Amino acid sequence: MPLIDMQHLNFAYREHAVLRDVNLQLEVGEHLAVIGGNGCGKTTFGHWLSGRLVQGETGNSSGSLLIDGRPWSAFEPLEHARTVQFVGQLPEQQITGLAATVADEVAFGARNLGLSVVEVDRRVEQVLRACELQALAQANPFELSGGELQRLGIGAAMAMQPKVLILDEPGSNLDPASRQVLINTLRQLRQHTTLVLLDVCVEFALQLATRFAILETGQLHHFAEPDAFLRAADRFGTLTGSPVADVGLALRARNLRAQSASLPTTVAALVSELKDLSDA
Amino acid sequence: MLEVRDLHFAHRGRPALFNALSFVARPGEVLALIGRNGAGKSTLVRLINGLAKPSQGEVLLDGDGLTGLRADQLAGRVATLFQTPEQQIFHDTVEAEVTFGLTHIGLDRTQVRQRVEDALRRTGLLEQGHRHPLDLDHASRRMVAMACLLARKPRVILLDEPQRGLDARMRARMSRLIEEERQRGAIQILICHDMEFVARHADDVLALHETGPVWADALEFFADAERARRIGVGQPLAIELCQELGQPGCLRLDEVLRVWLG
Amino acid sequence: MTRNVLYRQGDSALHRLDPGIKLCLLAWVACSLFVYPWPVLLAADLLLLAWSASLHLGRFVALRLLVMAGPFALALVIIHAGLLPAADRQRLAALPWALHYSPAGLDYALLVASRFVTFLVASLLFVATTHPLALLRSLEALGVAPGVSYLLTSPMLLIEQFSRRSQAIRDSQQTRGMNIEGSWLTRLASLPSLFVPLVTLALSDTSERARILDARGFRHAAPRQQATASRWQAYARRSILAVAVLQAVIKSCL
Repeated sequence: MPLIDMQHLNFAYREHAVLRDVNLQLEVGEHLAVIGGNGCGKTTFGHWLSGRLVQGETGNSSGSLLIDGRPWSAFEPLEHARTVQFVGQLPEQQITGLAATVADEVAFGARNLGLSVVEVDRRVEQVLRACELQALAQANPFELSGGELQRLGIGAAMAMQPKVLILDEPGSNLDPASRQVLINTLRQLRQHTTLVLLDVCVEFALQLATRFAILETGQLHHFAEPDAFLRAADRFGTLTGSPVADVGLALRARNLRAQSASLPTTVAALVSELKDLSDA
Repeated sequence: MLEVRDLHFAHRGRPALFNALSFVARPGEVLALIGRNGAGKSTLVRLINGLAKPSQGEVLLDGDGLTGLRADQLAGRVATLFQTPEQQIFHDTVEAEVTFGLTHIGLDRTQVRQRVEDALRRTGLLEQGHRHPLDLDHASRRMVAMACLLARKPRVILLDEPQRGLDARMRARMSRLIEEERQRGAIQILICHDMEFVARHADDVLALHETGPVWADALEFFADAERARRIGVGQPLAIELCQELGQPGCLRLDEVLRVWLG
Repeated sequence: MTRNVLYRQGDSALHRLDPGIKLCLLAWVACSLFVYPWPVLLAADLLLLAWSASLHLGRFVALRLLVMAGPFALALVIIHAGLLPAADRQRLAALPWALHYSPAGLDYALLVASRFVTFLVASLLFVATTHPLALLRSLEALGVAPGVSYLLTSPMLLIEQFSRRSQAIRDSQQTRGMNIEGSWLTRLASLPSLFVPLVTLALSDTSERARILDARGFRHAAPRQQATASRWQAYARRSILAVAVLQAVIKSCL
C-alpha cells in the first residue's frame, strides 16, 4: 500500500479548475519534485496533500486521497502533525510567533508531541546541526535573514519527524549561498522521510529529487528520469530550465547531438559535449 | 546620469558600510549591484531613493543633488521595485493600484489613463485590471508593483531581485521590460543574486565587499573567477564555458555557441 | 531570553518571580486603587519608581509614564480643579491675579490620576520584567487554555515584527510619492496607504500562523513532561488574591 494514494483528484476554485484528474502514488522515502509555472496550482496541490484541504469538507472537489490507507478526516490532530508537515513560501510566516529563540522555535512542536525533555533536546540539537543554525540557537527568530528563516521553518518541521515533508518553493526567496545550505540540509533528511518539493525551478529538483512531475493546466505529468523531465520542462516552456540543460537542448534541437543522448546536467558534462562536437 | 560621489555611511554603532564610494550610471545602462547578504546592497538603494541619508558625500541625478530630498519628493524621478509587493498594495483593483502612483506627479486624466493602460499591457495585466491584487499569485503581484513603477516613467529604476521566484515566462517578461526601459533611456540599478540574469542585462557591475567595492564592466568583472569567488558570487555559465573552452570571454550563451561551433 | 520591545532582560528578583504571581500582584494593585487615598497611592508610586530605578528600568518606566500619564493627569487637574463649576472654589493664593480652584475638584483629580499612574507603573514593571514566553508557560502550567494564553501573549511577542513591517510599508509608500511627514491633513490622507497593507499582511500572517500552530500540535498538546506550577507558588497566588479581597471587604465595612 503506498504511503500517499491520490486518485482522480479534481478541484476548482470559483469555477476555475485548478486540479484535473490528478493521480499520485508515493512510497515511503521517495523524493518527488513537482514543478510548475507561477499560478499553476502547486500550492493548492500541496494543501491537498498536507490535509489543509480535505475531501468532503472542501467544495468543488472530487476524487480521493488516502494517507497510509486512510483519509485525512480520520486523523487526530497530533497524528496529523506527526504524519505531514507543510512549509510554505514566505519564510516569516513559517514560525509560530511563540518562541523567543531559534532553539525554542525548533523545540516548540516536538514538545507538543509529549516527548521527554531529553528527546526534545536531542531533536533540537540534531536539527540545528542539519540546518546550520547552531550559531543562531539563541537568536530571536524575528531577527533572522530570509534564508535563515526558511531553514528555521524547515528545521521546526523536521523536528516533528514527519513521514511526509512538503516544501513550497523553498529556494525562491534565497540567494545562491543560502540555497546551497538548504540543499545540504535536505540531503540529511531521514532515510524514510518522504519529501515533496513544489517549485518553479528545476535546478532544485535535479539536486534533490528521485522522481519528477510537472503540473501544467491542472494536470500532473510524471517522469521517472531527469532527462525526460527536462525535455518536458522545455516543451512546456513556462518553467525555468537549467541553463546547462538548456544549452544541451539547443544542441539537440540543431541536430548537433543525437536526440536520444542524455542531457548534460553539470558544467563539466556540457563542456565535454562541446569539446566532442569540436573534435568531431 | 546618476552620480554617486564619495559616499560615506555607517549604521549606528557599526563599522562604516561605505567609505568614499563613487560610481556613475548613465541613461540606458543597467548597473548590477552584487555581493553577499549584508554587504550593503539594499542600503545603497535606500541612499539613492532617499530613504536613508549618507553622513558624507552626495547623490546627483543629471547634476541635481538628491541627498537633501525626502523619498516622496524623489518619487517622480526615482522608482523602486521592492521584493515584497504586498507591502504597498492597498487598493482593491489592479487598475486603481497602478493609478495611485500617478496622482502625485501632475498628470491630467487622459495621460493617467493612457499610462495605466500601457503599463498594464506591458506587464500582461490588461485582463486583470478589475481584480483585487491580493487575489493574484505572488509573481503577478510583483508585476502589479512593476506596472506601478513603469507608469511613472522614472529616470532611475531600482530593482531588488526582480526575477526571484518567477517562472521562465514571467522572467522573460521581466527581462523584456528591463530592455524596454533601457531603450527609453532609464538608468537601472539591479540588485541580483542570479548571475545568469545579471549576465543577460548588466553593462556594469558594482560588487560590494568588506575589502572594498569593485566597480567594473560586467565582462571584465566576471572574467576574474578568483575575484568573483572572493566577493561571494558565482560566474555566469557563458563565462565558465569560455574559460573551459579557451575562448575569449562573453556573457551571452548564444554567442559562446556561435563562436565555438562556427 | 532575547530582548523584546517591552521586555528588558535582567536577573533581578522581580525578573525571576513567577509570572503567575506577578499577575496576582497586579490584580492586588488594581484592587488597592479603590481602597487607599491618593496620598498613599502617590507614595506607592514614588516607591515603585525608586524600585524601577534600582532595577535599571527607571528611564524605561519614567519616559512611558510621562508620555502616557502626563497629559492625562494635567488635563484632569485643569478640568476638575480649574474649570468645572464647584461650590468650594477659592483663590490659589492671597494675590489679586491668583487663579481660582476647587479643592474638592483637585482632590478628585489627584485620586483618579494617582490610580491611573499607580496601575500604569505596576503594569510597566510587569511587562518589562516578564518575557511573553515566560508568561505563556506560566499560564499553561496554571491550566489556562492554550488558545487563551496565545491571545494574551502573542501581541507582545509579535509587536516587534509588526513595527518592522510598519516601517517597511512606510518606506514603500514614500517611494511611490506618498508624503507621510507633512501636515496633519497630509498624514491623515496617507493613513489608508499605511494601514491597509499592515492589516492585510497581519490577517494573512494570522491565517498562516494559525495553520503552523495547528501543524505543530499547539492546541492538542500531549501532557508535557515538564514541571507544572509548584505548590508554594500556588499558595503565594492564593494569599495575594485573598489579601486583595480582604482589604476591599474591610474598606467597604469602614
